[in-house]
Amino acid sequence: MKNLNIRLLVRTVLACALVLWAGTALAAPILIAHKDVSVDAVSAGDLNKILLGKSANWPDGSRVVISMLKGGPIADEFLKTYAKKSPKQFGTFWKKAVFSGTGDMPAAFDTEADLIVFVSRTPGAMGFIDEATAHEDVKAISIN
Amino acid sequence: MYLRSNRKLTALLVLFTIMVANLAMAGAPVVHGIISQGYLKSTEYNYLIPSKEGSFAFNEAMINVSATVSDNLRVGAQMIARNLGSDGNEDFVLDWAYGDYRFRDEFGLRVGKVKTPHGLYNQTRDVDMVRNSILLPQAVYTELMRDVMNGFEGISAYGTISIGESSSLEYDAFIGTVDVERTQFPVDLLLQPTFASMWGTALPMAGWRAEVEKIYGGALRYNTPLDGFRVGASAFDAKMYATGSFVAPLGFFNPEFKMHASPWYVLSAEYSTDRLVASFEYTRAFVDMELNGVLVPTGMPDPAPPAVVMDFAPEDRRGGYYGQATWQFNDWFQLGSYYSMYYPDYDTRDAEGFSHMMRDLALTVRFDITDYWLIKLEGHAMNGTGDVRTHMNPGSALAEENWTLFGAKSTFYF
Repeated sequence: MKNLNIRLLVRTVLACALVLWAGTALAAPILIAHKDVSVDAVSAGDLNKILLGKSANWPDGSRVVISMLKGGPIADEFLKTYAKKSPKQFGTFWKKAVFSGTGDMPAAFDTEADLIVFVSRTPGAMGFIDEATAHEDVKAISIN
Repeated sequence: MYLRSNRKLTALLVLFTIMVANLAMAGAPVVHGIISQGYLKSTEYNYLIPSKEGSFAFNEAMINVSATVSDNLRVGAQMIARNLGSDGNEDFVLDWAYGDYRFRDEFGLRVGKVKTPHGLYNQTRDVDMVRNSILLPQAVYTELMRDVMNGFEGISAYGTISIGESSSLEYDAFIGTVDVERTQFPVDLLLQPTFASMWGTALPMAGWRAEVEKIYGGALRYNTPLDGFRVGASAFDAKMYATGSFVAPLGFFNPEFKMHASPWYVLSAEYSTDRLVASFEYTRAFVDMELNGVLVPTGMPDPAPPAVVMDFAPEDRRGGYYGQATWQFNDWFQLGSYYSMYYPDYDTRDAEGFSHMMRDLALTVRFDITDYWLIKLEGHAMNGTGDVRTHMNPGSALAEENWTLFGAKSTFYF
């Protein structure tokens, strides 16, 4: 009886770990932007500078407006890869800017649908979504 | 002669109010705010506030509005009310208000009242929610100088220069003035201890006015090719003039005070990953002061004793450092600790005893209850009395070397 419980516990833990790993591993974010943005590709370095407010413009010189998902595996993966921060740290970074007067908080959304609507309606806007999500109203930008 | 009216700042505030109001009608501005309430309790000494008995005289409230006027121009303003013992008294004052024109990423200008770039955290020293600890390490971010180094009215040039694909250099150079209604620095650090030694007690303040006639300085931050690792240096030079009036036994004491900090600098290093933030900072200050005063006897029998002229020319050569690390376990729990070492006179740091230094080992737990509400608990194991104010502890010989300080703080923000 005791061995059975231990086996059940181990299987449960492994199953949970597999689900968590799968959720992370399947996260494949892409960068999207307003359709009028003329840029088709950005470097990872330029994207980092944009996300951290060091650069306020797209490589073509037009103003960039940052938007983001509040959380989830897509936000985790995108921000960890390109901003080198967790969503929590990313939020804190921009709160520092807001209360010291050096920047404005990126628009944050609970769902990809809301984020896509914002990006499609805001000139210069950028955001990130799962590559599997339909995004006809915005353009995808590749990251070199 | 040195003191000027507050008209410049008032005009600036009016200008921004008009601008923000105009923008508000267009629906453009964004509003954010914070309300924060803290509590401090210590075992031996009153530290920063009347903490020996336990005190809630420790809070901040701020609200800001900002708007993007064009691709290059942003405007905004923030009001703050704060209380830390005798400092602040919860009156709303202008914290920052400026126009920010970014010509390009490498060069921008901010004009108005601007937060002073000094060390890693001076610009956000009042923003409790963006850090783990309740109290910033006092070795570097002393509350005594807050009103001098918090912000200035003037102009700042800033920018980010890319160095290759993965590193960059940020700079910030500024010049301006600071119009301070009160500053704890001369009052608490120099005047009240002097009064305490002369009259055996701190003196009630009948009036006080101080102005930093000129402050200038800069900050450099190098974002290294190693992800999350940055180093920096910042410094300022400030000249302050102040006059005041204190009610002394048998008369009034009307001192004139001059201070020249040249320089006051901080060297910084910070490393962060998606879970860890670790930082180290080292500071030195070279401050020369002059205190000239006349004690004018009043209400004395005729003939009154003659006025007493007093002159002091003390130096402040403080210095210190700290190291801290914070670990974000998950979205709602964060643990952090710092070790801070402060010397009122850095040149005598090897002296015997414990009144010439203060060591602070702090441990903080932070709970983010919701996206808009957090609670922190913090313990400090203190060794030494170098940063304990004698006039805040009347009757105490400051004889206890080891003592503890407990803090709690809750913050709401939007």
